[in-house]
Amino acid sequence: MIPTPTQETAISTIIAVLSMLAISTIIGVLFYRKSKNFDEWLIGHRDLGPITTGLALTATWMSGWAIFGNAGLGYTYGWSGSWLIGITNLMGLSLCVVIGYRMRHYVSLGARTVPEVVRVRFDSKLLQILTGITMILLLIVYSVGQYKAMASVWCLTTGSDWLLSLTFTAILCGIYLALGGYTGTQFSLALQGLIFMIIGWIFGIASIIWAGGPEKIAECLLNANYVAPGGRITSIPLSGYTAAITPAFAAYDWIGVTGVLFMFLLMATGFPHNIARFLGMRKVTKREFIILMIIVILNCITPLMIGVMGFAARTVWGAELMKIAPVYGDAAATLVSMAIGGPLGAGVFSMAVFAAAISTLAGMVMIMATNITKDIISNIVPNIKPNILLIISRISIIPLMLIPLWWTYTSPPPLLSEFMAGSAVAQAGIFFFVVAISMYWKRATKIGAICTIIYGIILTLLHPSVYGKYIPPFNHWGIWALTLMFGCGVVYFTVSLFTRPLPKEKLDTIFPK
Amino acid sequence: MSIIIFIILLSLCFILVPIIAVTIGGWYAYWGALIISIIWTIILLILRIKYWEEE
Repeated sequence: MIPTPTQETAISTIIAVLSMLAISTIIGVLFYRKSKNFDEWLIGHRDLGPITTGLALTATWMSGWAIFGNAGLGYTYGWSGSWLIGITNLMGLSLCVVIGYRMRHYVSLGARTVPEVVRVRFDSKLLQILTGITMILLLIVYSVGQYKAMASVWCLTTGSDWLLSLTFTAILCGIYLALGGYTGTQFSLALQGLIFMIIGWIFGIASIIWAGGPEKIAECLLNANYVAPGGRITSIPLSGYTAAITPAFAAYDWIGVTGVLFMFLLMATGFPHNIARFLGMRKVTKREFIILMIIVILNCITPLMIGVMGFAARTVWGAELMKIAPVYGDAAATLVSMAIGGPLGAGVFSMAVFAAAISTLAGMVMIMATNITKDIISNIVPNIKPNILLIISRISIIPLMLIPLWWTYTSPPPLLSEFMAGSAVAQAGIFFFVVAISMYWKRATKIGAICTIIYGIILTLLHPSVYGKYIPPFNHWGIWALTLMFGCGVVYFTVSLFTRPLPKEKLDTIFPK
Repeated sequence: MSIIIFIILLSLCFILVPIIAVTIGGWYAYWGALIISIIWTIILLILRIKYWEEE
């Protein structure tokens, strides 16, 4: 029987979520008070070790998508959902660790934000502003997913209606951010990363047992067909790793799967809120670097565990959840946690979802707020006082929270992870080259980077759910994603090779010997 | 020369994931992708440590 919310599940969820947020906020306030100035607030004392950085990195990497949406993917699409679940997400994040460590070098050159790294690298304020604006646009889209994750969990465990759940979630986030919970930088994030790793692993393993074992799950998926949101049953089988549902579905065919594989390979490094984690890291030894990588490996298994919860839900409940609007298959993980652990399970799992979603949301809001102040306003008004910048940063949090909130309320995406993948592809395509490759490739030029950003933004608008549906072949997700990511690479390298890089003496100061 | 071998190994890992999904499928492909990703990470780690940047 599918669990329904009770007074006990509601109380348990409220206590668990508020406790996690309170602890995170206390950490945040403590570390905020320790910051002497705006720069210190941004990157701390650059004394963070491998464990804190590893957990914080996985916290910003894994959002509502991984800890909540993955079960929806497994439930809705069966094995073909595995690609967006991120069965190769470790490949991308380990690449981010290897490449991103060089960000530290740019801090010693005066950079405090990702666009500032770009400004230092290309000696261009225009590029810094353009990078900042692009980040804001793409991160707002990504924020929508975090709200849907938190509001859905609240709705399913407390029984509140959608609007009330969304409003309450927004108020909680607002209080958390206003009190400075997110200023705890890496420490709050590390705590949240640890919480959802432990809870994700426990529920993933427990759900396999709950569903009757791996063989029973495999047998169910072998015989299952795709059911559209709303409950319409189709004849499309879910037995394989592709499913010809619609060209807009990422695993429609192997072109789409290739697109997802490259998206996961590039996006961890491309996410500004991810790679920014290295700005506050101290110099580590080789041994400590291995420890950092072990933390990353352990937490990158968590999304797969959540995906398993979706498979388990499909095995036990069939396609019933596809009738529950507006959450649909995304309800799987929360309901499985309630079925396995009762009110306690609901509370603990809700805490994990809030930990994942709010850590990513806070990381993104912080990036966007500093984009506005450090990367845009500071360049236009160079003599502005640091304390005024701090005040503007805090005020700008309000619209940065309200815009995605309004979006989630007016048109919540039917399947969270599918929606967020759109923004992820754009961030992967643009910033992997403009930020990450530029840290290593001396021949990269300012014009090459600017053209890459413009190309990436134009292609983003051709997403199959936006204008791509009118312009074939961009109605095919895989073709769109590959054209965006590889196109960004082609534009970046070609334009750079035909334009003039920084003078050698300038490059010698930027690149380590 | 050795960096080319590393890149070949990394490419093999990347290609192997969809190949296993097509040929074997099911749970083996699901957890197999994780094992291949761990191998990929170890290769990257060796590469990083081999070319360690001193500050």
